[in-house]
Amino acid sequence: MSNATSVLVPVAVLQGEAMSESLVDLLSNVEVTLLGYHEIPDQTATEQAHDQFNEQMQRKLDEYVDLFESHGGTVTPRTVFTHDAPETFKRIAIEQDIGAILVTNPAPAIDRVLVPIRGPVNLDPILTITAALGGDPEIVLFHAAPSEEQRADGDELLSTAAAQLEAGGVDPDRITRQLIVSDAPIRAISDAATDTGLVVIGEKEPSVVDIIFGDAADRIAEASASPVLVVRTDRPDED
Amino acid sequence: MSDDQPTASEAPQADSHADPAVDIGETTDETTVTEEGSELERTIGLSGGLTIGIGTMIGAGIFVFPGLAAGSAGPAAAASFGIGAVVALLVALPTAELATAMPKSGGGYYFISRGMGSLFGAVVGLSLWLGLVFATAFYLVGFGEYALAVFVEIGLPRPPDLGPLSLVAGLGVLCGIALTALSVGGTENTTKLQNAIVSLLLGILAVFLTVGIVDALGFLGNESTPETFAPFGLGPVLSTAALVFTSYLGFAQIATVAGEMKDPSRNLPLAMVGSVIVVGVLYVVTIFVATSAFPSQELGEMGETAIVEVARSYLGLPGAIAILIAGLFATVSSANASILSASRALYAVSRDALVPKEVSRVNLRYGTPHLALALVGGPTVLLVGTGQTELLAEVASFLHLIMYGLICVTLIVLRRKSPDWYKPTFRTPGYPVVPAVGGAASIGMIAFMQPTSQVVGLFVMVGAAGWYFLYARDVRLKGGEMNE
Repeated sequence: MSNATSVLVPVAVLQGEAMSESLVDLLSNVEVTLLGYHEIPDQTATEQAHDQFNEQMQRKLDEYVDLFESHGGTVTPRTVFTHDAPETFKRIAIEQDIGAILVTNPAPAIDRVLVPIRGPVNLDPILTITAALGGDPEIVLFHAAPSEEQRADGDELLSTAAAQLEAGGVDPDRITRQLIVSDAPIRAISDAATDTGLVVIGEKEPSVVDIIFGDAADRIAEASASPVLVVRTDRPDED
Repeated sequence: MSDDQPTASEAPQADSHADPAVDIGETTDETTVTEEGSELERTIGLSGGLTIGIGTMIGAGIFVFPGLAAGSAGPAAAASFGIGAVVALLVALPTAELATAMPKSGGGYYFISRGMGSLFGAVVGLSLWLGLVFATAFYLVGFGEYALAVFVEIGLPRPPDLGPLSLVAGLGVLCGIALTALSVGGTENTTKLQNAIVSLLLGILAVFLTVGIVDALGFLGNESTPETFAPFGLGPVLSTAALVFTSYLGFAQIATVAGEMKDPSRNLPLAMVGSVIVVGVLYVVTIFVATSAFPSQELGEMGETAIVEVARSYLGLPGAIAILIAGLFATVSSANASILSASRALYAVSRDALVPKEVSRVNLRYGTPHLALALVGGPTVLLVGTGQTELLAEVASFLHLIMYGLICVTLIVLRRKSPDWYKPTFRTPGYPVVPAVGGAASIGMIAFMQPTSQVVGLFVMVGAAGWYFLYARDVRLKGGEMNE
């Protein structure tokens, strides 16, 4: 089951992590795996936390499931108790052949989705999932060219992407392009992302987790306070 | 022992035994899936398992016992450690088999209670908790010795003892309180820290022991001390084996986190057997090196920190400092690992309602079982206050050896009854000889301990049995139960 448009949404339910309606709306057309997780310290056995918190966890997770379903989404709930949340996300992403992982951040309203594009390599999966997002937000295709000379290449990249989105059924009026020249792309993306509701980026390395927890996505999420959808681009064909 | 229990509930027989749902779900390589459909992530790999085993054991055998052991058995103390390693190995194999059949939290307690019913389970579960408390106290006294040696090394005047509390015990008590507080606070990355410490220790030891061996074998031209191998005969060799057996308690601690071990059918046996072999070899070599450097009587007089002087004789001041630092780390890491295992042991008995459920409640703020940790840290600190290295070590060994004996019996019982649920993926080689000899040797070792240790150990066990009859008599265990 190769699901380019499946999204893993990890929620630390017991920490009361919130999920805004606009984000739920946005994900109403994609297959969501809603992962309620609880990370516990090494001092505690996972079984021990499960004994005590499982009921509460399931109850809270059900509320999120209801929220998704009331917005017309399809959700598969899972609950995990773990000592190491990133490892758990990675396992489930591989197990379910997940297309993208959401790094949650509160997003009161999502009118714009920022899609930074590095190059032609990971374009397909990124655009497929972007086209599948619901809620009709404005889609900003973004490219940071390293120098003035490479502006033309960037322009071409953005038009290709726009054309591909249109072919994927996105209303051309919703698509805008933004091209800047900068030699610090992460910084440029974070700056551009500050007034957007959601950022869709491709992962660089094969491992989703490396990027979520130490690299670009994390820094962007932190700097912009926006949710970030990290698209797995190098999924091995296995099942 | 029932005095130590928080008997908050006035009518304990009432509802606390309702349904001890213990048979937690289906095991895969990466998770356990519970009956309710939640997943419990397995996050400890092979290296993590080895670290728990080695980290728990190494503190005692190398940094506390060499002087004491050589003092009472001569160079044959190496044989005492060898005997300990063989017994540990004979028990580690059956433990590994049981752990692959029941990869759950609770280790020895879980196997014995499922194989032999709740009375044996209760005695072992409570003895395991207190056995680990004694072991932790022993490691902390060792820590106190090293902390004091550091003071002496940097030339501070020796502070006066505080009344009945010796300085060593005082330092140990402080460390015990600090470790308990850290555990309750739910320190992150303890596993990573423990990994780093164990790697550092193994590195320091590798250098020290290599130099020591080269020197002892005479390649450096220094004459090593010729001495009778067993100047005091066989008796002290065996009693020393019983004393130093505390250095081998770590492999069973791997079983207490069996529920969190990745690919348990492969990693559990490898980690248990592997860690016993690694530390066994290190211990024997350490004694060999130590007794080559000094006559064993002198080593005995140096006491717990004898190995520091051995390092000094081979590597000078830097060697002594490296071993001092290593000793501090090793004893703390052993104590820390034991505190965590003891809290797991308490969780396992409280899950089965053999003690009140409240004992293992997790607090939401830190995510840690603060009461269980306090029930480990509290008694530990009291015991450290006694400062009795050998007594603490022997009682810890006593309580573990009883469990090891019963683990071997459980294996034989389960193999013979062969219930449907019993499907170990690792099978003990040499069955039934290995568990029979392992069990007999475990119990036999107790005979060589000091009478005081035997009395204290028995007292703990009788207390545990008394607690069972008073509090938990009508407990029915779910999951692999064999009460009929």
